[in-house]
Amino acid sequence: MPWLAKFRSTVRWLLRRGRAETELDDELRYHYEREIENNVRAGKPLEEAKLAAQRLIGPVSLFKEECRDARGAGWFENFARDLRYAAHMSRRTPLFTAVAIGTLALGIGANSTIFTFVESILLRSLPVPNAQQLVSLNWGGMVNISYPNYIDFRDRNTAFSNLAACRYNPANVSVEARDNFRVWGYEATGNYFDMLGVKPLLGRFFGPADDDKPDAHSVVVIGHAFWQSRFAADPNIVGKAVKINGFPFTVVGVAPPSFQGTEVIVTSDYWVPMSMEREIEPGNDWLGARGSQQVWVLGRLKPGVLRGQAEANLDRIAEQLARAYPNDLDLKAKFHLSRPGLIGQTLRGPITGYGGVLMAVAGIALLLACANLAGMLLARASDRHREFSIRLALGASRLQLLRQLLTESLLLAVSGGLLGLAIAFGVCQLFSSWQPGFDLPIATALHPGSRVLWFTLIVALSTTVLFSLTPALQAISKAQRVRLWSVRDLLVAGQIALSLILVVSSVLVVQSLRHALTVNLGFEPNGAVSVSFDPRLQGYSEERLRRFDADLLHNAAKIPGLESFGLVNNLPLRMGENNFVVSRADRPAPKPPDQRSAISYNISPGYLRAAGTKLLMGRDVNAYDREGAPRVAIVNEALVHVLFGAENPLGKRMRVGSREVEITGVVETGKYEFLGEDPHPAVFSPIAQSGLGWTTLVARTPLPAETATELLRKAVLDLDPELTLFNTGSLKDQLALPLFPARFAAIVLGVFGLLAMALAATGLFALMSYAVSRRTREIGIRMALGARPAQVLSTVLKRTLILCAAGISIGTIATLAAGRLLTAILYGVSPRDPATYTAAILLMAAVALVASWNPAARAVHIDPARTLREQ
Amino acid sequence: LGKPTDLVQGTLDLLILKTISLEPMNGWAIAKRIVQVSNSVLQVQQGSLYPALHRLEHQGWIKAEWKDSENNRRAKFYSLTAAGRKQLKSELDNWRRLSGAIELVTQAG
Repeated sequence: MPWLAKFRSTVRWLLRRGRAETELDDELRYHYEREIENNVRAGKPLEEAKLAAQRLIGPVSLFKEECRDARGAGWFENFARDLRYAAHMSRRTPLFTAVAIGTLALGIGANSTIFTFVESILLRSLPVPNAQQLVSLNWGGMVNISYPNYIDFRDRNTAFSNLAACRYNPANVSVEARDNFRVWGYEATGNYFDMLGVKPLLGRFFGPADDDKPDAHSVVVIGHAFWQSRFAADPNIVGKAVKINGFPFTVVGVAPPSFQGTEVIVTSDYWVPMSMEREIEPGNDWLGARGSQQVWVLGRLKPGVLRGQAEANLDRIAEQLARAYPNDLDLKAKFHLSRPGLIGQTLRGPITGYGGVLMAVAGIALLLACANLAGMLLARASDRHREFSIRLALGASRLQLLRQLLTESLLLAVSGGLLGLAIAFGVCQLFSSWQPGFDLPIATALHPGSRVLWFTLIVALSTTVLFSLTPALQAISKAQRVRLWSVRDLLVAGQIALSLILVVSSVLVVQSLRHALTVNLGFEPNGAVSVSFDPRLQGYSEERLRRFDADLLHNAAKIPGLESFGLVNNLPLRMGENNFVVSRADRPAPKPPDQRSAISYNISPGYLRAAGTKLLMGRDVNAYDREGAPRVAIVNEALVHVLFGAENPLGKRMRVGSREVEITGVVETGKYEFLGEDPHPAVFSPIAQSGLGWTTLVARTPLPAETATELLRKAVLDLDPELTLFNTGSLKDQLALPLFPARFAAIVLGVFGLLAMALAATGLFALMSYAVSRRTREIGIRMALGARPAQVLSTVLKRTLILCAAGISIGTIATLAAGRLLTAILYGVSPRDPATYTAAILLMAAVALVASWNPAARAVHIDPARTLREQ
Repeated sequence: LGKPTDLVQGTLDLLILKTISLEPMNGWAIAKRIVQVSNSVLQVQQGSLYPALHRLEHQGWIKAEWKDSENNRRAKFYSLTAAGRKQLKSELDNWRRLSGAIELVTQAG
């Protein structure tokens, strides 16, 4: 009979176990009663007949067991019994159980969480039909391809059923006047949705007919989240008009919630045909430019075509193109097809590396947890030596004991795994609700899938084997090995060292975060608000831009309650700084290795006062610094120091890039790129002479931040109701971005520090418990001979103290050595801050004390009489 | 009460299969029949009979059915399946070969 049918028979038996058991009883009772009947008929008295029948039948429960075994159901009954016993054991030792499950939950939770991130970024396919056929084109290591080249590849290839191109861009979408949003989305070719095979939630997607000539089809598909948040999930959205960068577009469809674009780590709010390029990117015009590498190309392979064949096909076309356009194409560039979603494969390497490191760290943490747990189980095994001896004496086989012990471990691992999974889900939930304050819609929604469940299950089962097999084998063996120092001791010392490093680092980072809010930033974030907008997206000409700036300043002057106000292209610490080479105009320009660069800002009169940047000498820019007037600039002290040393810089001339300017003022040096940077030269040029694209209106005011922000917003929108404002609010809140690396580091270090501390604690706990269990008899004898509790304590604590001391010393030295790595994110606190070290060391000592408390107390409370009697 | 003859497991299977090949029978009847037909030489222990029946059923050679017995009480009746008939035939062949061989060896000399 095939095994499948047997398996079904077993399962059937198990499923209807209750009825099957009754039937078995009935069957046996029938036999018994017939036997009695038979005996009575043969002339025996009833009592005697019963006895004879019982004798004949024998031990009923034993052969009932055999009947069950015959059904292949025996293992299940045994397992259930082992499980009940294991549950009973774990209730009897709640401290051990809690520590074991907690350790495993942390270890498995960390692994599952990181695996969820890795899985959802690196392993998951785009949510489209037959996603394995989709590939991204990487050409000579670049993901950008020019539009005319794309058209040639699309039309000449034989390997793809469809080849589509897209490009990811910000745009201003206005629903009604003053109801504007800066959103990110795709310009996509007409075959983009056909190729993907996605179905719209509402309306239709655009197709090749909507993408046949430039500027002709102003249709837009909007993303599901955008539809819900900004259009209140309007069911009649299709056919409605919106403005994108000031141009009227018609909404033709809504994307389904599962589809957020063809990139994995950013979401999309809109899709427009690529032929609308000039409307989406005012000032750009690359649809006809073969030398302008602009679009990302995705393709769907024809069924049966391998990646290698498609690459060869593309390379052949590239060769033809390179011969036809030798100036625009690199003959040597080869194609590489990759899984789409990470800007081609651009981000795959870094993310794989980063994810790999995190997985390795979490894996090591879990291995340490297993080692500690093995230690705890060893201690327990020697506690339970008596129990095992009795059970062996009563006829249990060693195999049965081993099975029992492994079941107990399995119960721990599964409980730990479930709790770990809960931790992972919780972290993902937390991450999903996080809104990073970047000007980019990061995809934070994390949905742990079935792969995560399998991963956790496999990890939990592997840990069972890892942490339980050795202790279980040792528990049932007769001899107990005793070694002076074991690998496990060294591991515990290592864990103490590791957690000290992490604790010190995270405390340092947290301290520097506190300092960061008090260091001199070169501007005063308290009491100031700002709003940013990008008039270039709205297609402003240079001329119109200048007029707009002048009008805005004029209008802002009429707002009541502003102490000062001004314009700047980009506030410091916002990323995206411009750098220019600077040099003295009275000396020859230096060659590359000696060149100095300065961060460049374009400011209007009043900006310095509004930002709170102190003018140390000279004058602010003013209304006379306009086009045609002599070019001027204000520089910071760092620039003066670098270019002019002790000379008076006022009136001196310098080159900024290709322009020559006269220095009219000097301001204090601030922080421009990140908080921990060394003093960096900076130059501030008047907007009337340098122009302004991206614009930030800053105001200093005693008004509440919300009120002031609203006033600034109104001032901008009064001039152009279709402009989209972003990065709005108080400067203090907007510091979240520059503080993010430090905050993130503090969280990660803190979490790993806590994890390492928990591990070190369980490690010590296991070690001490084992030491005490093993030496119970010895301690009993000593106490019987008159040893005082303090002496007993010193016996068991000596090893712990040595390990703690070793761990703490190693940790301290390692942290001092590694401290230099932290300087990039530390500010205002020395990486060798003695107070931090002292606090961390005391903390570790306290943790060690807590971990040792229970075993030490057990040692002191050993009853000599009982120990001696028992062993 | 003498110690009942120990039956090798395979032999018991053969006896059971042969016994129920004529008509469906319950466990008690099977035991009685074997004792009777063998002139009380073969004693079937209940402790062996029922596990064997369950094993045979698990292997799909016999099937069970609850029916009224001769004294109007419900009993579990076992009968051969098609696979069981095939098994009985092959076990019978085996047994004949084996017993014939043993006969030859013990008669020799």
